[in-house]
Amino acid sequence: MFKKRKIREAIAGYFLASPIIVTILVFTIIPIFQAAYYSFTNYDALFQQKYRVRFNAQEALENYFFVSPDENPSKEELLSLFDPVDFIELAVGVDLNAEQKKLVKREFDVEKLIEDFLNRKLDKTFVFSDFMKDYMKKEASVFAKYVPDFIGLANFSKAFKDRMFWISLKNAAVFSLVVTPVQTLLAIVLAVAANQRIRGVKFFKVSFFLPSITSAAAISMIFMLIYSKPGLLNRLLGYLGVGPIDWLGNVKTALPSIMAMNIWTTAGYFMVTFLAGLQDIPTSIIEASMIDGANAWVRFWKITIPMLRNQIIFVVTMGIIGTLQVFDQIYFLIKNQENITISMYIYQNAFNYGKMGYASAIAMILFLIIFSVTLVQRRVMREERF
Amino acid sequence: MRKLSVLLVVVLVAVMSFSEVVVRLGGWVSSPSETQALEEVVKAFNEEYAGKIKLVYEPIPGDYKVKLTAMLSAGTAPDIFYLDSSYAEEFFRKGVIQPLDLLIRKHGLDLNDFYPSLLDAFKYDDRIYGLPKDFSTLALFYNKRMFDEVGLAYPDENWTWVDLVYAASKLTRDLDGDGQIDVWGLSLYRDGAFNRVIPFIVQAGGKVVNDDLTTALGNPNSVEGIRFYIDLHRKYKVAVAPQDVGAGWLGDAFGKEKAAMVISGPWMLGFMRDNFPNVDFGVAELPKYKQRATMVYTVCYSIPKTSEHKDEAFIALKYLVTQGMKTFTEKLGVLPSRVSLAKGLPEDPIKGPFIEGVKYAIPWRIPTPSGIFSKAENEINTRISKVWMGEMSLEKAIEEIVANYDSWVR
Repeated sequence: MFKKRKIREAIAGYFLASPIIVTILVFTIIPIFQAAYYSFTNYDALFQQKYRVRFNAQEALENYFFVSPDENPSKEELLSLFDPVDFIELAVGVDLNAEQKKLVKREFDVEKLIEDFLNRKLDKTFVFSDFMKDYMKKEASVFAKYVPDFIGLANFSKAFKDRMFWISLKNAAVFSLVVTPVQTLLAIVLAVAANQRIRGVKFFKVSFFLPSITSAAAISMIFMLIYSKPGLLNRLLGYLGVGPIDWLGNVKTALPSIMAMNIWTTAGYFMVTFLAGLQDIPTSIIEASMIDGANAWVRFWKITIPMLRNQIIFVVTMGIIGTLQVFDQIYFLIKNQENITISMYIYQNAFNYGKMGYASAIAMILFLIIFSVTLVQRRVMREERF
Repeated sequence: MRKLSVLLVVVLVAVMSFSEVVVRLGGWVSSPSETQALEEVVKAFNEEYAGKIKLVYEPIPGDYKVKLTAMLSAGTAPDIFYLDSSYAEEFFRKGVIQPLDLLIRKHGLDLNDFYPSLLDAFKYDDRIYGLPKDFSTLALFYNKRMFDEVGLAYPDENWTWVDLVYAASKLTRDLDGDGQIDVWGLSLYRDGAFNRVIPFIVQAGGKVVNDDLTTALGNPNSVEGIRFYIDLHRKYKVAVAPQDVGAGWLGDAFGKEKAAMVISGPWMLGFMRDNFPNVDFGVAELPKYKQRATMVYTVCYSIPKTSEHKDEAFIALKYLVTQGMKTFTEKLGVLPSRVSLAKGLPEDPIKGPFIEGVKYAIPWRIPTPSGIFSKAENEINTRISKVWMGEMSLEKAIEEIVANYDSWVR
């Protein structure tokens, strides 16, 4: 009795949770496995509908023979003229590979097609895969669905020889190594500042947090103006006698400029995490340390930082993941290939260069890198349990 | 009785709408006025073909090429869609676009009326895969007031590179005497500039690719063209990039009168009218050198091979490039891709140079073995930027391009 109820409850529970389970399954879990599979293939999205080409078989044959069934051509003559591979490639418009050509030559039912043509049975729209089902004696399933070629580790070995892969990976690594510590430290400082009992503290909290809820596109536009040659930054530097620098155009300054901007946008977001952590620090500890004569500096390093350990681990982990994947600011602001990061390179390969399989392989490499970095990091900085 | 008649009408409408073939038209959204004109054309088409074909316009916002690729791979692409010449070849090569030759023969359409350079942009393997919607060529925009100030005659179609450098150097001026240049003779793109360098390459007698699709950028004439483009900035010091004068793009630099000349397309006309109505400017054909050359940017309407209603789609496509193009030319002032619709335009002082240009223009489409040029374009652009900024020598850039080109286009 009890068990039955439990099962019923479980069913109800899963039913209620099903929208999110299905969503995650369809949009996250399955794509991850698909990407892993594509990384071993030469998958190309544009070939997905390769065998769904639609055509009017009668028209295609008329154009192939230059004759219509109304002119009563002789069957023998048509048979002698007909080459199924030519017909499929030229008149239907589906490219075949060498194996498929051999298969079509062997198994295509030429006689049946010509008879149907002469009996005017073909004047309708066919989908190529269905057409092949009708006119291949066997193995029509080859033409049922596009299957990318399995090419083993070729994509991966190509990546290791690809100069752009290394440049973009190096850029992402540098980005991560600089941004993560700085943004974490800055977030702590901001949190400590925002945690003071001073006038207008709410205003500061809001202004620190504001960048992280502003859209990346808007922020990118603002920084484009700030960094431009006659922009704000150069005007300020001009007072110091530093010549105008094209921050985003120059290969050497572009990435550091984006890093600074990224730190500014994300520090406020992580500040909230630290604020929550700060409020968890018991006032008794702080008071005790004050009685022991610890000044603010000592308190910060000896009490605040150690007590924020769990938050720091979280922020560093999220920071590393986020910075290794940095994309939108690079997409909006970087003009020069030398300065792109790895996720931008994945995007370019997938959507601009028509190399989805290769892009998937790089994405897998990035996944492995992030996975192992996080793993190592969790080993080194164990979370403390109270 | 009344109820019955209402019912009858409803049934009739339902039956009619079922017998109608729905043809979907997809394209990017460029401006409200263009959308409006397109909707007008769609409405006119639907009235003419009521009960037979219903054309439905579906704007595709966002990153168009990415979305179109996704739609094509999911089998949900519209029956007619725009394709830009710069990346169309990839779609042709991968067999997703319906060649139109047989449909043109079946339904009749005079291709001789189209400018040949525009049709060339959409030909592959001797077949035509799309019909040009309209086009934009590059021409030389000049600020009349500035030319008057320095006492120079306005540019005309007889201008050569020498005239360009001479005028630009006269127009590059320090107005307030603080040792800083306030107005530049020319503004040119530094980043993403390759398609703007191509006219110079061809004017110098060079070309981008050889007949066997290997790169021709190493050939001395091509190098001369690239060198001249960069020399305008580095050696003659008469040209700057728009961002160097606080402008977002060439039109902005020209409108703000930071540059006396820019090389740009007809999209500048509406921009200048709306934002800088007081700048008095003229347009001339690009200066020539060993020969004339300019770039033409064009977009076609194509039909996917998977479309269920290719005949109906072609009938609608045909309407778009005939009646539709007429409306677009009249309402939007776009440059028509058909000679018969361009009547009177060659004599127009502003639009004339663009129309003249299409006669000798090269379409913005670089054929490659894979059909994809964007990787090579990124790599070449990066090197042009570096040479422009003096971080790399042109010789080194050319050497790297020639050595690696093959790996970028496969």
